[in-house]
Amino acid sequence: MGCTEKRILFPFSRIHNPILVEAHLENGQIKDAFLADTLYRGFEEILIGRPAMDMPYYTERICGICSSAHAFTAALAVEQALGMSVPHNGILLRNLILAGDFLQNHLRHLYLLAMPDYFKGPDVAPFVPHLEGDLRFSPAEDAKFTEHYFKAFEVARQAHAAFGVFGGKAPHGHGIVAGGVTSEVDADKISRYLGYLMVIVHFLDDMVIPDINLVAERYPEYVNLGQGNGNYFSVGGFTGIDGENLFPEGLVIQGSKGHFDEKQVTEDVTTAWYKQTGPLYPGKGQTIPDRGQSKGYTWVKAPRYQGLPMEVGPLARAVVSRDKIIGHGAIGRLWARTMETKKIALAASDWLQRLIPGERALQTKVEQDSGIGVGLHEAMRGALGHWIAVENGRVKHYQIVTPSAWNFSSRDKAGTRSVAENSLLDLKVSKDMTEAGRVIRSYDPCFSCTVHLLEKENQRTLDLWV
Amino acid sequence: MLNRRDFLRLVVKGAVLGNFLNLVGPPLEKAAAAGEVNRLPVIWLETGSCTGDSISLDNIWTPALMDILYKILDWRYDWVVMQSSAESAFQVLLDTVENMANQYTLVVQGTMLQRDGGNYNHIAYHDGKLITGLELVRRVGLKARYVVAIGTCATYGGVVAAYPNPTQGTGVQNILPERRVINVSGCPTHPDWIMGTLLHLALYGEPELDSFGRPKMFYGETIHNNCPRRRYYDQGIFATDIGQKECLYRVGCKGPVTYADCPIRRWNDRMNWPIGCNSPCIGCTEPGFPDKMEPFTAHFPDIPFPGGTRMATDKIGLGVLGLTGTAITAHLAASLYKGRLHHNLLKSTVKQNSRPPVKKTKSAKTYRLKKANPATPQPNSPGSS
Repeated sequence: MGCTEKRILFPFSRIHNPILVEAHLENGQIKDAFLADTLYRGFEEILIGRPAMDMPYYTERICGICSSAHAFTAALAVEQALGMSVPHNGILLRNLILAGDFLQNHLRHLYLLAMPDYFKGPDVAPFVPHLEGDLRFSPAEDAKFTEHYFKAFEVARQAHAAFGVFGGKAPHGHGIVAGGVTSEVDADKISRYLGYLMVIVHFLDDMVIPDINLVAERYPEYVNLGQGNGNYFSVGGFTGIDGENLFPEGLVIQGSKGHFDEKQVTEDVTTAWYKQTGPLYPGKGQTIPDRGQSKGYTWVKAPRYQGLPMEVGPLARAVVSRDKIIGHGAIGRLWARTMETKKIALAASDWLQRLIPGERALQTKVEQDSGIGVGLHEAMRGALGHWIAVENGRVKHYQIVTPSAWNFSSRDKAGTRSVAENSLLDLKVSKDMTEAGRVIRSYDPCFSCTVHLLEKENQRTLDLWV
Repeated sequence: MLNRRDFLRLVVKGAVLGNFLNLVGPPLEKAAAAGEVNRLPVIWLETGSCTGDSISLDNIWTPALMDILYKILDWRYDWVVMQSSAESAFQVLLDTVENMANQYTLVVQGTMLQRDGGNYNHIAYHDGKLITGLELVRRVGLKARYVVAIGTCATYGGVVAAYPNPTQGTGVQNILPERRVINVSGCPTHPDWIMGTLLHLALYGEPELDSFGRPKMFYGETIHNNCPRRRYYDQGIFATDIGQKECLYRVGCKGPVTYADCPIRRWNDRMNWPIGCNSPCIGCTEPGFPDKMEPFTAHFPDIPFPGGTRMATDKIGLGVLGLTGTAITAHLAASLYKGRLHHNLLKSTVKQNSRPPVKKTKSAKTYRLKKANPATPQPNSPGSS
C-alpha cells in the first residue's frame, strides 16, 4: 500500500458513544480509514418474548438523544403487525413529540458537538485542552460563539420541554405508544408548546442561521470537503393528516431518482464481529456474534440498498426533497441540518393549529394477536427501520437498522467502504486530525444506536486488527 | 454558606417550586468564590449506555448550570462535551487519576458489561491497547473519593442487563465491591437528582442513602404516596386503559413500589411527568427494572385480581414479576383492609367510553336525602324560592 503511518484515535469525543478511528496516512493524507464501534449491548435478544405493546418504551432506551424516533418507529411497526389505527389527534401529537426531539437533537448537535470544531472556547472545561490546528475566527467571534454555545443549552432544553408537554418526560418519553399518544389535548398544552416553539424559532433566526452562514464563509472548502458517495435516500416521515409527508420518501443514486423499497435492504456482516451468514433481509436477519472473526473490526453491520452503501440524514432528505443545499460536504451537511430545523419548527406550528382539543388521541384496539410489521420513519440522523414479528402479543423477532449503521457501516463482501469512510479519503490532516473530526461529526453519528444484536455463542479472546 | 439542613430543605422546596438549582446556586457560587468549598473534580465515564443521562443532565432547569459546572464543580473528563479527542483528552483523565487521587469524583453512566472479560465495550485506547469499560471504571474508581453511578444501567444494570442479559451486564457496585457506590437511578436520571447529589458531595460529603444506595433526599418516598391521582385510588376509581385520567393502577402503574419524587419534582421544566400524560409509571428507578416491572402498560400477569385483568403467563422473569405483583396486590389488599378503598372498588372502575365524574358516593347521597325534609323548602338552596 505504501502507507507510511497508521494512527488510532480513541475516544473520538463529542459523539454519542465514541467511535474508534483508524487512519492510514501517506504524507499527511488519509489513504484509508476504518471507523469502528466498540460497544455492544444486545438489545434484540432482550426484546424477544416481551409484550409487543411495550416496544416503544423498550426501543427508545436504545438511544438517549433520539429516543422518540425509536418509540415512533416501533409504534408504527407494532401497529402494522397488530392491525391498529391511529386517530387524527394521535398522528399530529406524535409528529409534535418527534418534532420537539428533532429540534433538541439538531440544536445540540450543531452547538455542543459540531461547532467546537470550528471555534476556540474559553479556558474552562469542556474547552480545555483546546483543539490544535486551524481555527479561523477572531477572538470577538470566538466569544460570540461561546455565548451561543451556552444559549443553545438553554434552547435545546426548551425543545425537550416541548417534547415533554405531550410526551410526559424527555428523554425516554411515555407519550408515544402503539395506537397513538396517551396525552390528552387541551388549549393549555397547545399554548405551552407554542411558547417553546417561538423561543426556538427566534433562536434559529437570530443566531443559528447567521452562525452557520459565518462558519460556511470562513471555512469555504469544507462546504464540499468530505463528500459521501452520491447515493442518498429517505424513507419519508412526518405524515400530516392530509397524507402528505414533510419529508418525502425516495432515493437518489448517482443523480438518478427512484422510489425506496424496503425489500431491497440487506445487511452484510463480512467485516463485522458476527458469524458469517451472507447478506440478509432485516425481516429475516439472523445474527450471531463472533469476536474472533478474523476480518471483523467493528460491531456495526453493513446495511446495503441493492448492494450499495447509502447516505442518510438531513442532507439526504434535502437532496431527495430537492430543497436548497449549499454543498455535499461537512458544512453542507451542517447547513442542511440547520435549514431542516427551521422547516420542522414551522411545520410543528402548523400541526399545533390542526389539533382538536378534547378529542381522543389514542386507539388501543387491536385486530389480531400475531403478525409482522415494518416501521419506517426518518429519525434525526436519517432513515430508521424496525422489523417486528409478533406472536400472541409477544415479540418473536425484532430487528433494527439505524441511520448511523447506514452511514458508518462496516465493509461488505466486495470491500466497499461505508459512506463515512469513503468521505475521509484523500483528506489532508494535521496532527490531531481536526479535519477528519469535522467530517465525521457532520454526519451526527450516534453509536449508542448502531449496534444492538446478539445471540449466544462461544466467545474467544479479542484479537484486535491493530 | 448553607448548612446541610438548609440544603435538604431547599431540595424539597426546590422540588415544589421547581427551581432547586436557582435556590441553591447563588449561595454556592458565593461560597466557592470565598474559597469555602473546593471545586469538586469530576470524571464522567460512559460504558454500555444510551447517553440518555448526559442528555438529561443537559436538560437541567436553571440559568446557572454553566456557573455550577465551572464554579462549583470541575468538569474534567466527559467525552460527550470535550473539545479535544483521543490522547490529549485521555491524558486529562490519566493526570487527574494520578495527581488528584482521593479528591476527584467518578461518575459512571452505563451498564458494566462483563461478558468476555469486558471486551464487549471498549472506551479508550492507550499505549497500543484498547481499554475496556470494566477495567477503566475499576482503575479510576479505586482511587476516587466518591463513586457515583448515574442512571438505572449503571446502578442496577437496567434494560441492558434485562433477561437474558446477553452481555452479562451489571451495576457499578457489583464490580467495585470495595467501594461504596452512590446510586442515582432512573431511566434516565432526573437532572436535579444528579446535580443535587454532586452538590451534596461537594459541600457535605456523602448524603444519607437507602438500602439500595440511593440518596434518601430524592428517593425517600414512593411515587404512589405523592401521586396527584391518589384520590382516585383511594376511592377505587381506576382507568381501564392507558390514556385515561384516573388512577392507572390497573393498567400497570408501578407507583406503589417505586421510590422517587417525580410527582412533586416533575420533568422538563416541571411541565409534565409520565403519569401526568396518562401513562403508567414503569418503575425505572428500581433495581430489577425492567424485568420486575413488566408488562408496562397492562396489569400483572397471573396475579388473580378480583374481576380484574388477567394476562397470560410468560417465561420472562416469572419469579421476579410475581414478587412485584404480589407487593402491589398486597398494597391494595392492605388498603382494602384499612378501609381506605371504598367497597365499590369493582363497580367504580371506569368503563371504556363512559367515565363517571368523581363525586359523592351513593351512600352519601342517600344519607343526605334522608336528612332533607321534603315538607319544608331548604333555605340555602337557590332553586327553592
